[in-house]
Amino acid sequence: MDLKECYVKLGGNYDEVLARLYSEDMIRRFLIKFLNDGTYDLLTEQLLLENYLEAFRAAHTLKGVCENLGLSDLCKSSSMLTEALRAGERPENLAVLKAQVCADYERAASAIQMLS
Amino acid sequence: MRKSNIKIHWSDDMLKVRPKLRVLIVDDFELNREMLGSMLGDEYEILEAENGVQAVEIMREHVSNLSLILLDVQMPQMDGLELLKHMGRLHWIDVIPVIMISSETAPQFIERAYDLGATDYIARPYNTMIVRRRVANVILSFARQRQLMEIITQQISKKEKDNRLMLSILSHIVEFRNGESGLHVIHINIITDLLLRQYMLKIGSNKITSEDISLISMASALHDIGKIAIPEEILNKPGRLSVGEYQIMQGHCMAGANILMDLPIDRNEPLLKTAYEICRWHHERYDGSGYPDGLKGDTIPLSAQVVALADVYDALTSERCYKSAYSHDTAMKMIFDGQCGVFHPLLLECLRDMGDTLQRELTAKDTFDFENTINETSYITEQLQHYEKKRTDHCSMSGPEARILLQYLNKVFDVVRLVDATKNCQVNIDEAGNHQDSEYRCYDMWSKEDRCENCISAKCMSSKGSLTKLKFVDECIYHVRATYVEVDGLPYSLELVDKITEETLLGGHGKEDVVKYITAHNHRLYVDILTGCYNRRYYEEQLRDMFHISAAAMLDLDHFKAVNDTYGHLVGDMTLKQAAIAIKNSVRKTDDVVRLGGDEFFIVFREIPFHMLQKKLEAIRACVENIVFSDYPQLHFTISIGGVYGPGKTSDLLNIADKLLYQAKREQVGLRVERLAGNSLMKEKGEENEAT
Repeated sequence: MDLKECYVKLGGNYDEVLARLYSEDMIRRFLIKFLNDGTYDLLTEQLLLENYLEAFRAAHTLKGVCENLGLSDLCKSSSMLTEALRAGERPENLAVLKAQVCADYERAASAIQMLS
Repeated sequence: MRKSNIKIHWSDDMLKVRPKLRVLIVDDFELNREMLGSMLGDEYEILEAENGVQAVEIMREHVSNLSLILLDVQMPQMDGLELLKHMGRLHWIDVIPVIMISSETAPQFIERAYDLGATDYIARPYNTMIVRRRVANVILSFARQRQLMEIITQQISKKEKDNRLMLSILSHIVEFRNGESGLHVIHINIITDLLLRQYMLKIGSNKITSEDISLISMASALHDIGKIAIPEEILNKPGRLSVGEYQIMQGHCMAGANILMDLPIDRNEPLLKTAYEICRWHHERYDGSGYPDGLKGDTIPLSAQVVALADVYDALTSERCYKSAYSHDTAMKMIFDGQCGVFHPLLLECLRDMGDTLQRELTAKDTFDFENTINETSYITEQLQHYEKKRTDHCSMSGPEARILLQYLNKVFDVVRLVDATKNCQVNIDEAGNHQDSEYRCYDMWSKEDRCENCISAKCMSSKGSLTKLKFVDECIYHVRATYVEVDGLPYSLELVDKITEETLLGGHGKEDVVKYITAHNHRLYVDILTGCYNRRYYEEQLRDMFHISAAAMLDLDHFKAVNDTYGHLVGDMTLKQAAIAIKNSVRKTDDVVRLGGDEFFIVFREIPFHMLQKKLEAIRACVENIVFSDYPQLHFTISIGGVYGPGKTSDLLNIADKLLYQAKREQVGLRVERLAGNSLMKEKGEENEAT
């Protein structure tokens, strides 16, 4: 699978990313780094522990990297989660928001794994 | 990609002037740091910090050579806004620009960051192009700002030196007039320094610093500056002073303090403040019995207390017009018996503890001594009047004075020397005050084979003024100040040279590159590419307005246009090159050869006798006529020359030489040399002297 197909699969806009980052190589490199990054795991862990402030930081970071890498779907869901967590308390619709982030992440992860 | 190419090219330009710039990326998320790092690419050296606390540590170490910080807002352990506040408190924000990077796009965050001193803001998602461009722009505009700040810092430190210089000159003049020879000032300086060091041992270096000590001992030289205001008959009276005379004499304390306040120096200058205390209160005594204010105990500043003790000791152990010298032991006894008034017990203890050291140091430093006769004193008084006029006029002094001045200046500047720029040689002044040319050329110091292109000493000597320049030698930068002085009526340039350290000039930005760049730039600026002679710009900027030029000549190749038209420009260029070589080989290294344009050359001769000028110009003609091109054996050249013997201003000489050249061409005589009668402006003279 090439990069463009990968972006279709994970719900992102490849052309927009390429226009910003210029280099295919760089995009590929950082996608793989993203896959091996612990932020997502940290988010789910902190949510389980009900550490909402820490969870907020993790969600915020996740949202940031998605923005930069153009992972649009995951960016959108993590952004919603971030805003819900900003107060540092358990949001009412946490389960729904979390489920959406997990689904988007899994989809992105499997697409990236299929690269090259 | 077109855009990125433009970008890279632009950065290369920047890199020519400076080496890799250091950028600190502060973000808790590694992936973000890496991403920004790779966007900036190899052009920068990247430092990384995970949070504000780490960033502060890095900044502490690199504050002077960090070009930029990219800063995230949201971080554990001191977030971005906290870090900005911290940088503000330490004034780092004034020297290191900060660009915020964050997905926190809420306006209140951005506004707050700007308020705290952030320069710019990059929002997510990052765009390589924008990140690079913003980083480069911010660095560039800050670099300019920094440069300006450095220039100002430099000027301040120069000013400080100038002030010190002024103070030391003033102190000498008093010293001479006082008839006590320069030794007293030096003694006070040494004794004050020793006393204070001993004092520091006793009370600890947290109460008094080495800087305080050097400040006080430097200012101590001025303690008697007020004696300028005391009539000479009283000052040098061999016997006891009458009550009235003594009162006048006591006035020197206040007079000195007032003189200092009237100096055109910032009153907050620490040296001036300290000197003021010393001048005014160095005759106060610890028990309140001194003058002029009758201050008591520690209301008398420490500086004045120390100098008072030093002054008493030196007065006792030196010969004065009213007394002979006492031995060290007698002097000590007199002081401790209270015969010279009451002093701070701790300072007396210091004096006692020093004992032998003091005597030893004082004899070791007596390297120069002068006859201190009344005659000399009144002569110096005349000089003093000269000095006071100095602001409009130049500085003139005697040989012995010049020697003392040089010795003093040596303490402040890296190199101090007298130069005779007309002969390009350094001048020495021996202990008797005689001056003679040394075997050293003035340019030897710069490891050069030849006179400097921009010789400010020559310019100062001809304009009787003062000039400064920066000099680049072997990757080092020197600040050179040349001032016209007359020693025993002979004209010299007094050169004060200071090595400029990397910190003062460039704030740690790669010095070598700047040096290379500027040296090459100067060379390009003044040298004619084709012939290697100086170019017209050199004439305009460096020669045109010089006075007292010994002689000058205008030269023009005959029928050069025909050579160009017949044989082409390549041969024309070759001809010019060869002609330049012929000319340069015929004159001395001290003479400047300028290609004014086309086939027109101009020579400036320094210190040349008339017959030598004629000989040189004839030699040039012969050399040019001997030029042969093996490919064009039939090609021969002649050159016409108009020479004028001054002295005069370069531009005047040029006009006359040009006229003479025209005559020589018209009359087909090849060479016309004329002597200027007297020193007047010579337009008519040139015509009148045609017959010579």
